[in-house]
Amino acid sequence: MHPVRLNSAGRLAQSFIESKLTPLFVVAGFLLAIFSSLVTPREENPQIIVPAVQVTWLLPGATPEEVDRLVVVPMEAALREIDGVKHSSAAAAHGIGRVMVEFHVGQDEDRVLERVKQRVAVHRDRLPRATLDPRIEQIRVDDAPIVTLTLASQRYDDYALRRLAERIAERLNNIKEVSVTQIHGGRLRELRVNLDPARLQAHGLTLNEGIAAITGNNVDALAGHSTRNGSERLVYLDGRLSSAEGLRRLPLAERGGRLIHLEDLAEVVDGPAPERDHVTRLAFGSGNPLFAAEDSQGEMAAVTISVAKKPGTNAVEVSRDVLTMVEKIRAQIVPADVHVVTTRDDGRNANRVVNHLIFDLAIAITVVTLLLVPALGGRQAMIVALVIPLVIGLTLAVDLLAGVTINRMSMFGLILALGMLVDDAIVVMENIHRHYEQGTTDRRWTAVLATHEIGTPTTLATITIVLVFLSLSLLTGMNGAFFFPISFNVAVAIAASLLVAYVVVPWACHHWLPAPAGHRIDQPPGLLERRYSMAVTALVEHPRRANALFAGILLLLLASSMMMAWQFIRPSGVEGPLSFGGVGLSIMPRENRNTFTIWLDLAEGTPIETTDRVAREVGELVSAQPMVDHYLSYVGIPGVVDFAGQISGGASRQGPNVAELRVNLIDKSERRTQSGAVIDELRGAVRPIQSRYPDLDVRFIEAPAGPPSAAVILAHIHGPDPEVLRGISAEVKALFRTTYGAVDVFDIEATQRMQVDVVVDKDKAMLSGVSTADIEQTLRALMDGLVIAQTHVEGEKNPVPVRIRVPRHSEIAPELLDRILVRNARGQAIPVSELADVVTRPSEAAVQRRDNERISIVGGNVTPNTAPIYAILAMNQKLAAAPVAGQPLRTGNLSLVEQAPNSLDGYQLLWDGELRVTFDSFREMSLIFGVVVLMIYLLLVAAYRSFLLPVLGMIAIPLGIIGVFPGHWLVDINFSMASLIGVVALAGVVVRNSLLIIDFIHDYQRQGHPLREAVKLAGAVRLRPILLTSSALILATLVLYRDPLFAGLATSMIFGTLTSTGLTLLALPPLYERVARHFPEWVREPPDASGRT
Amino acid sequence: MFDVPTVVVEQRAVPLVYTATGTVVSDERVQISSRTTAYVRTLEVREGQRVRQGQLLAHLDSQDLDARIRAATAARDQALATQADAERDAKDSATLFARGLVAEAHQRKTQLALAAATEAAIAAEAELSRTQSERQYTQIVSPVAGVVVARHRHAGDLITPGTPLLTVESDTALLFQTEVPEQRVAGIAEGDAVAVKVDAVQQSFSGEVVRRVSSGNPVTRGFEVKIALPASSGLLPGMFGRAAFTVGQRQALVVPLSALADRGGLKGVFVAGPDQKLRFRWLRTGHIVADGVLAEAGLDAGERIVERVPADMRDGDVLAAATHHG
Repeated sequence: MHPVRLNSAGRLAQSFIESKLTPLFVVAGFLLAIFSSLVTPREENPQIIVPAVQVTWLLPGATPEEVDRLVVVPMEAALREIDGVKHSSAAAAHGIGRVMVEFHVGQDEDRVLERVKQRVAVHRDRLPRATLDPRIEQIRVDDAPIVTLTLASQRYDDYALRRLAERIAERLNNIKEVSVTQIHGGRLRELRVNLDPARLQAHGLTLNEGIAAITGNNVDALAGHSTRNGSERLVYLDGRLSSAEGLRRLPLAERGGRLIHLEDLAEVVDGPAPERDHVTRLAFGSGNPLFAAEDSQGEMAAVTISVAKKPGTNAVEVSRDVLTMVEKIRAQIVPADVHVVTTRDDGRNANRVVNHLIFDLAIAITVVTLLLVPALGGRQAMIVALVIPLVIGLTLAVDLLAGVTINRMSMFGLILALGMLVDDAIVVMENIHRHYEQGTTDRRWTAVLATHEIGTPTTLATITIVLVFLSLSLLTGMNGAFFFPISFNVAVAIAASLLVAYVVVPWACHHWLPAPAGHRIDQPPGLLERRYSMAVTALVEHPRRANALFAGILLLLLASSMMMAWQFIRPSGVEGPLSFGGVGLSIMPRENRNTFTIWLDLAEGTPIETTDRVAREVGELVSAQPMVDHYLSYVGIPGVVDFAGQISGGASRQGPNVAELRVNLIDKSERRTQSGAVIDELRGAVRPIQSRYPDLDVRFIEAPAGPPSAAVILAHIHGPDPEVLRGISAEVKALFRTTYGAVDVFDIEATQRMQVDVVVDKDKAMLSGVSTADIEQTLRALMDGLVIAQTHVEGEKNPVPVRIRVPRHSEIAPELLDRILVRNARGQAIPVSELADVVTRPSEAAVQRRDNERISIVGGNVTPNTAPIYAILAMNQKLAAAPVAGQPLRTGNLSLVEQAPNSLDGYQLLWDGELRVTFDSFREMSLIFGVVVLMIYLLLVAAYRSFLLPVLGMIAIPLGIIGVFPGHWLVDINFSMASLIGVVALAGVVVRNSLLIIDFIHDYQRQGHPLREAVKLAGAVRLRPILLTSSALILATLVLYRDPLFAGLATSMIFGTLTSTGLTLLALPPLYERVARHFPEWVREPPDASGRT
Repeated sequence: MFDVPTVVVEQRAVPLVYTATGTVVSDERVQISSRTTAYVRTLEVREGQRVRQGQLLAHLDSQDLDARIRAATAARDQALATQADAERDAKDSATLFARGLVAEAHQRKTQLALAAATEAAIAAEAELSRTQSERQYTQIVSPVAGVVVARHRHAGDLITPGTPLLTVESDTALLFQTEVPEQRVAGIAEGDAVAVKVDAVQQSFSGEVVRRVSSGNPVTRGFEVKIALPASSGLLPGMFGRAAFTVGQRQALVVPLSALADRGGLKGVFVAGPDQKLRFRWLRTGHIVADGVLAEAGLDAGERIVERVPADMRDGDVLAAATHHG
């Protein structure tokens, strides 16, 4: 019965063609698809783990230089010894040193933390004795909250709102999947001791005595046990302060038999602190109906509750549960004039994105099916359409097992795979169909044979695609982690599609395909085939025409590459707008988002009130934008971070000179304007404000479509002398400002400001019997306030701090230290001014390091009409041309391999930011591309046992590239990371067409056709399936345009496939004919195949 | 729409003040004690009582003194009697001597006895008047007009010479006494005008430096400075106060207290823009001066603010066009 030895494809088809398992397999596949899509956790973007650990040391009283020398430098070096460290950065300021170690993406977070702890402990004894125990913090991505709720009111102040928020947060913690709830903004309750230094002086009391008296009186302790009457009782000492009243009546000292109570010296207030270091507000924008309403006009005091989920839980469900709970609480305890605004809902976003994509997927499936119906016929199309959900179901099941969530990337992977996964089914089905059409008696055996016949090239082509996508998962870094679900899903889906094509398609064809209609598919029936045959014949018969075609193709290839390269080599220089026909370059495209953030940085030393004023001015511009729903402003503290903010250092933005505005737009389904356009307009609008505050840096932060980076352009300036560094960075910043397209220019630099030194005269202090520590404690308490105790107030969940400080209206200027008394051991009170001199001088600026070198950072972004690389190259030219700030400056890091900082040879500027990520990714991508091409070649060499033949097959790859750049120009998008992935994927896809043509040429030759005849025939017979698979790919990929991130990928795939398919069909037959003439051995009888029936 | 007066804030000089605390003291302070040892019989005054000069303050017990006066009177009478006797003797002796009945020596002796008796009578007389004069010390009167600030003994107590009985302070000439650190003392001269604020009466007085003690405390490094206060200002000695020495001046923005408002937990003012729109501005307030509070940050000179903020004014409200600039 079996005259031929079947290949694996044939054997699979044979086993399953009549098996009862096959329909069960189909049903199981459908059930799996439904089950997995319901159970797998959903999120918007794949979670990227960027392990980073921050260690902070306190060395009281040390200057930045001392901290740098004694703590930061040795510890940074020690921590860099850990393997897996990517970068380290460090900062040393007055009395505090901080080292942040960033590890390569994908390292185990907990292991990394353990190793850092170990290192820190080992080096503990090398640090100065006075160093306090370090604080080690892990910076976790999981902690980025998925839901934030803001309570805002015009009637209640932030203190009241905070207390309300605390009650809500408490209940939210009861939800099982919630990990951390946090409250941002609002002041805490405290017991405030408003000291009047004059009264203190009048009573001859000093502050340190007072503090000692308060802390000494705030003691609760278990004193012991006492046993009586056979039972043991605890003896408890109850001396804790529990109310403001108790604090007021606290005796501090005794003078002449009279007690001096705290209330004699100070006012005790129970409530929020009036001197504040942060403010949070919410305002509705003109896009919100509440904008001009009576009770919600302008900026209102606001407090935000943020909710993070536990790892592995479904963001969609968690956020739904949280919001339902909030709605219930709101009805019960929230007063009517408090607005409860959902200011972030990642669960809803994720659900919406995924649902959109499922819809897109459905569209793509419908389109592909509709394409197949006229091309193949109704039943045939149904068989192919059956394959799609089956493959998707299998892929989702693998995702669930492998821990890949349903997110934007994995869904895109499915859509991308869709265009390719039908290929195998189409090819198998088409071949079976063709054989049936030719007439058969044994339908079962014919189907098996047809599958067997097509098996080798199909398997080969499928393996190339799987290899291509598997190699894409070799990408490291954030891009690697981000794009992994795509490559994984495509690889899995294609592999599954091959299995299904061999298992289910023959079974379905056997059972469902109609009896032959009588015409032979071999003979080109259509106009298309006839025209194509004529064209191929003309090319094969007339070598000069073929030569002209080849030359034309070469020219096209050159012109196409020029579209990319012209900007770099044109005579007018790299700076400036793109020339006509040019294609821009950017790593990540912009995306239409519902939210963005504005960062405001003023000069260090700016009081918070001035920052607040700038924030309000910017806020007014924001709320005037018709697309703005609302915005939150955070002055002095960071807002609720998201992933992009975490990467760009948003969580550490703290201090009186910084502010953040988180702008939420009307949902994108309800607005026409892109978020990018809103940002561009606001950029222009804030310019007058910037001219009024020359120190103001404004940055617009919008999460990019892909993985975020610290900033788009970063100039890391290294060098030994901080003074010179400052000079250089000022010049570089000025250069940024004048460069075409550069916006959002900022610097991260510790600026010098004036400081007042209280220099203790050690001799005088010794003579008076006062220690420097006494003076320090006193000064601190008086000038900045000091938490001196914690009390447990009835009904309060948290301990209430007791803070002692001088209210603003009697604040002590450092020049008037004589109003501060310190008491010596002999009980005499001495004014501080007699023990210390006050000197005003420029302060020692904080020291910043990166990778163990001193650094000063300037950064910026570019407008959408140019690309970072152009701006950088333009600036690089200018910087390299002349010395900067009197110093020759070496520039670097514009290479594929990252350059480490080295200030031994003088001052150095290393470009970093998105560009570094671009270079790293491009380096890896080109490596991967090379590996992919090599692998395809090796695979083909093995299959065809020839070194030259695979080269002919791979001609399709450069033919595809011809279409890529003009495609980007036509669609008007930049060439991005996704475009590059598209190119690599393209390489895998287009080789298939050539392989099928070559395979059929061989078949025809084996049947006895001469070479020239075989070449003409094979092209014509493969035309239809090739056009079909290519159109399926193009149509399925079209839906990717709905997401800007994938526009580049879609463009590369669609235009690449177009040119590659078209040109391969035309150029391959004449080229093959010309080469194959000299290699008759290419056609051999395959040992395992029988040839055509 | 609000029709409220506005005011333009301007930068102006405000004094840079050094504040020293101290106490109101009296320039005259008399401690009254007894000259004799006696029991206090009655004490006519209480603390805080105002007394005139010469007013009776206390009676001391005088029984002992009376006895001594009687003894002295008796002694004087005895001396007078002895003198009269000696006189008669002398007269008789002279008669007899003239007759030659007695010896000249006898005559001389009687003359001597008479002289001695006369001297003794004078001494006894003097002793009597001395003892009698002691009687006035049992009636203690006030040497100055003022206020009794302390009663150290009670009726029935035994007092001895030198122990204080009462303290009386003059309240017409009050001084403010303070200690100024070494660093500041050079800048303070007698005659400087100093504002003294007394907490108890919530009032500020303009004083004048009258004394600067030129010897400091070696440990606390302080120098005593006394400032004369205006008379009859309702002050009482011992009140706590602060003396504000003007040590310089600086430029600052002053915002009237009525312009400050609290919005959402922030203290600030409403600034009227050129478009008549009112924007809330958070201020860093500093020291309070005579006519307002210093704005240390958040406001620029030349900006127009609402002078008196209505409770319902909100960020973004509009000022009625016809507003007068204050």
